[in-house]
Amino acid sequence: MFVVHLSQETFMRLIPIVFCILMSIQQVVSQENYTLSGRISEETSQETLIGVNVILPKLLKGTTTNGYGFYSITLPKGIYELEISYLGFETVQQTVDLRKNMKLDVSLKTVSEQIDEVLVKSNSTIISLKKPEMSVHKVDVKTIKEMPVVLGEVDLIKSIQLLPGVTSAGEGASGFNVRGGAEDQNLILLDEATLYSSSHFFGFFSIFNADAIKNIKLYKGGIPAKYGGRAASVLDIHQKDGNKNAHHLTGGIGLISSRLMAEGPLQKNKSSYLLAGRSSYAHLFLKANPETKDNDLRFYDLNTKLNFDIDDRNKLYFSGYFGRDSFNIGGLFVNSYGNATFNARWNHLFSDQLFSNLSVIYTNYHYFLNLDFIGMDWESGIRNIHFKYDFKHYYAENLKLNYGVNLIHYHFNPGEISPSKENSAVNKDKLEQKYAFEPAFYIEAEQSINDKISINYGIRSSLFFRMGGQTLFNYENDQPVVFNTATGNYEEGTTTGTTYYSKNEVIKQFGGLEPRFAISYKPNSTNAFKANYNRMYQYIHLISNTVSAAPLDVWAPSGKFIKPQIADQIALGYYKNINEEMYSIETEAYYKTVQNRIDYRAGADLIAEEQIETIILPGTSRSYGLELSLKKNKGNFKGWISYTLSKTEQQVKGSTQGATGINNGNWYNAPYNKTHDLSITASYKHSEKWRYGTNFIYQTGRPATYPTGQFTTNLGGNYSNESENITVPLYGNRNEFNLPAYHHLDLAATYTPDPKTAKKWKGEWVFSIYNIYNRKNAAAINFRQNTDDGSNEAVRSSIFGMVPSITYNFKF
Amino acid sequence: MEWCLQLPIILNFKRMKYLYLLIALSVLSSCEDVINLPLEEGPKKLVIDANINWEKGTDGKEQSIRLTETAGFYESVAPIATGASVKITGNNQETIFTEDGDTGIYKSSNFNPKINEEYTLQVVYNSETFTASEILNSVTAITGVEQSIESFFGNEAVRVDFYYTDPITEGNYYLEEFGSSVSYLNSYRVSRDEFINGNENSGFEINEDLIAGETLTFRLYGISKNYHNYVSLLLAQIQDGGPFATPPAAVLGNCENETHPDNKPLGYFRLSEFVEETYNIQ
Repeated sequence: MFVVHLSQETFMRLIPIVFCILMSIQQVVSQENYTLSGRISEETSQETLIGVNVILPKLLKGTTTNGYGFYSITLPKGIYELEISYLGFETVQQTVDLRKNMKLDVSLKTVSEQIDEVLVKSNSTIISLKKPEMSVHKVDVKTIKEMPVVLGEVDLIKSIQLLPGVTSAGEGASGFNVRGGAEDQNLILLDEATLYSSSHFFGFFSIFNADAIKNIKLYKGGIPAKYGGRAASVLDIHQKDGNKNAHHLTGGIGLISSRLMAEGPLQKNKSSYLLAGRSSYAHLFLKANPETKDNDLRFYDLNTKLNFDIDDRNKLYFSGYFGRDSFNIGGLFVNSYGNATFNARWNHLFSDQLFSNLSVIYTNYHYFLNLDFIGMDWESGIRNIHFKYDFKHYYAENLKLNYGVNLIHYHFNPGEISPSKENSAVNKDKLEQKYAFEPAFYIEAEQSINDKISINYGIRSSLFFRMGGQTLFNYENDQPVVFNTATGNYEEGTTTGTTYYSKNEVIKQFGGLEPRFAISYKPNSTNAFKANYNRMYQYIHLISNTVSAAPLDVWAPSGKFIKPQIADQIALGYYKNINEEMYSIETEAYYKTVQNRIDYRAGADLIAEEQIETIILPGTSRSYGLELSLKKNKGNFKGWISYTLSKTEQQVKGSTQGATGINNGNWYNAPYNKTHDLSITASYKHSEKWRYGTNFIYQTGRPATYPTGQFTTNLGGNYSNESENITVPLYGNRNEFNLPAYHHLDLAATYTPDPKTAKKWKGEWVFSIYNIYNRKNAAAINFRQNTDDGSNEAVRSSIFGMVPSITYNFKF
Repeated sequence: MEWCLQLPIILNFKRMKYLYLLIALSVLSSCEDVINLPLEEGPKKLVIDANINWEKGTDGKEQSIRLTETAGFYESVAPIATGASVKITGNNQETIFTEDGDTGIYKSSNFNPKINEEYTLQVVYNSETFTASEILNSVTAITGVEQSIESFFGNEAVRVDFYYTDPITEGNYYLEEFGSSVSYLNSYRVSRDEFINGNENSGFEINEDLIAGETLTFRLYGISKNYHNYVSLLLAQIQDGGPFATPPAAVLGNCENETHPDNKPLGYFRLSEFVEETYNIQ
């Protein structure tokens, strides 16, 4: 009942907006118009292509294919010259006599290496500069595969960290930070399914098998109304559909893991399958050694996809991902965790102008831990079922509408403890399970006002219902965290009892309107100015009190004590193409604020914490920055330089009861604040046989808290015994200092022994060296007492020095 | 060529006896090195190390309190705070502590301990008055000791368990102290009874260096919830870090500066009953 009630209320507010859009459509529909639509795919595999330019060069108009390779353009009756272009593919030119609604499916040929330099003539900038879309990066999987990486493991996440405005917490740290956003503020979608962790081995490798990935797109701002639920960014990853023409095997053998992908038609040109697996094999080496045979250490991924073209108007996709990390240290410590997702999607064309996609998605992030020596099993996780119905309405050549509905049901399991053996002292315990619903609907228009100006405007209305089925603690004065004026610390509030909320009861609800707006102005064919604004609501929070997010970190829903994060971002940009897109320059500036950003209180200990609300403090965050990037897009020598100058701060204010807040209520550096961030990525094709790649990364060191002194204590009280003295570092303000700068230079060479082979088997070797000058980048600096002589020292932990590696990739 | 791969897993189980478990798998070479990092020094503060220990079954009359000052992080000696006047009131009595020479250690031999009694400490130093109040907490007895073997990565290590039975009443907090002949520093852990209430529990040590003939001393102190939180925070600051370590924080105790509230002293005023057991490794 509550759903209907609130939806109506919000719906009323939306009516004027919808009305305005309809008014503008009225003006458009005046002549006899016909629709040209179809799908664009790659010639040999029939794999659909995303973001292909479909252009009418004479009219300086055009469109691009959507996430399913579909395009549609409505024009007055007439004869048109059509150009279909996509980077890395041969441009197709075709004349179309548009006298009725027409369907035109086009297959594009990969550019053969020889004519790479010749093919520079393309009108794709007609769209790219004119589209209001900004703060968006598309990265080609082929480019990612040729970047030098640690231990030769192709890594999507590491590659996006080379983009302006994107940083990492350092080596061996999971996730990525976008424009001063935290890791949990990134929405990571794999075939529309939300992932809750993106790394293996605590962040050393990303969970994406590059062979199975078609396309990745990162939105840093100007986020379309279609997406919601996270404050900072959207990383939209599409898996390949699988070859519809012939069966192929693709794979690679590396030092850490090997991967294999099989794809092919189920019924030629109608349906296809894709099955990809990747597994590390450190466990095999451990097993081989009698000393380490009781230990196990591995990760694996499984990607699957089935796709069926039922007819011209209907397509079905089923895709799944299953990944796990698993450790077993001599049976004493057993640990496994990972994501599992499954989704079913139905593409349906209601008409040549109305494309729809219905998705039903199941996601499960599961964490398991067994500690044999204390006899305890631990399980935690998050599950959700997600229903999405998205429409893309190609109303007229200059107007597209996107609208749809979304519903997510969450089930959070913050932890379940059970004794793992008979004589265990552990009592069975289950932390309260948490449930929530997140419905949303959106509408957005992409409108071209004239040849120079285009705008996107839309609104998303999201709601969040924290549901019952659990007991909540009540606190004195409703304060889960109190300030202890005696010790100067924040502490757990005093509980005054508990309240049980039944399954159908709403504990707390939130909701809000999220406007999205983007505009582009293109004064001529090589320059463009763009601006955008977005508001994002984030209802779930990753509670982490460690420097780098750990697999055990807890996702917590908003509710009685935690409010949703609300991000507002404004960005301005200038873009220039030089010499027929040979070079491009992108400059963007942004300013972002986030309300209700939480930070942990000092000494907060979150594991097995039933009352998450007692360890966190609400605050705000703000970030601003300037991003510059220069790209060379064509030729044997390609690459980009990106530089970001930025600042990200947080503030937790004190209160009237004498509470000091964090750092006395002043703005302090967010843990992922990086003043300077420079990346240089370059590739050079020396010959058909040899290609080279290089990366250079320089980032300001992560903010850190350093001691401003020490004190000596003897917890036991035996003052005469020196060995009982502990010296404790006396820490100053949170994040006041910075670790030493983080930088490294990497090189890679790809050798194709027989590039022109007529054989089916095609192989290549990738040799790479990570961190060639063996820089010991500090992952952390710890301050401790030397256990041998009791003196104090600063200890740097670094993860990777110089790492050479070799990988063999093949396609069959 | 030198490189290393480290998988640190730090599990921080609140209310569990094993507060921190660090499993670091180092391949080829160590990932840690000591660096020369210059640090700024903050203003000097008084450190009140007031630990009243009453061993079960004794009269608990002999007690001492140490006063020092904070020092620069790399300095090797803690400056002593000498010439202060120190007293504890509680159990209808005022106990004066007198300095033992110029050592910063203040002693008394007529303290009168009583379980669950609230005591107040007063220190006057450099014309500033510092106070703290705390309750004397009781502790349960050690019921047995057991030695066994644990294996880590093919290496065997001795494990010693000291058993005690948690009382059925909820809300018991413990400080566990291990001293051994094989390591320079004692090790400490705090535990609470939330998951193990009323059960037999053990404080245990696992150490590869513990071989036959070495000794291990275990002391168990009854403490307050406040002190448990204080020691948790304190220990978190001195544990080995790594990327998953809890970010550092200032460790503030229960002592106050009555004269200048902003110049808060460090340290803690704790009163505990304790039990001790020494075990010879077989």
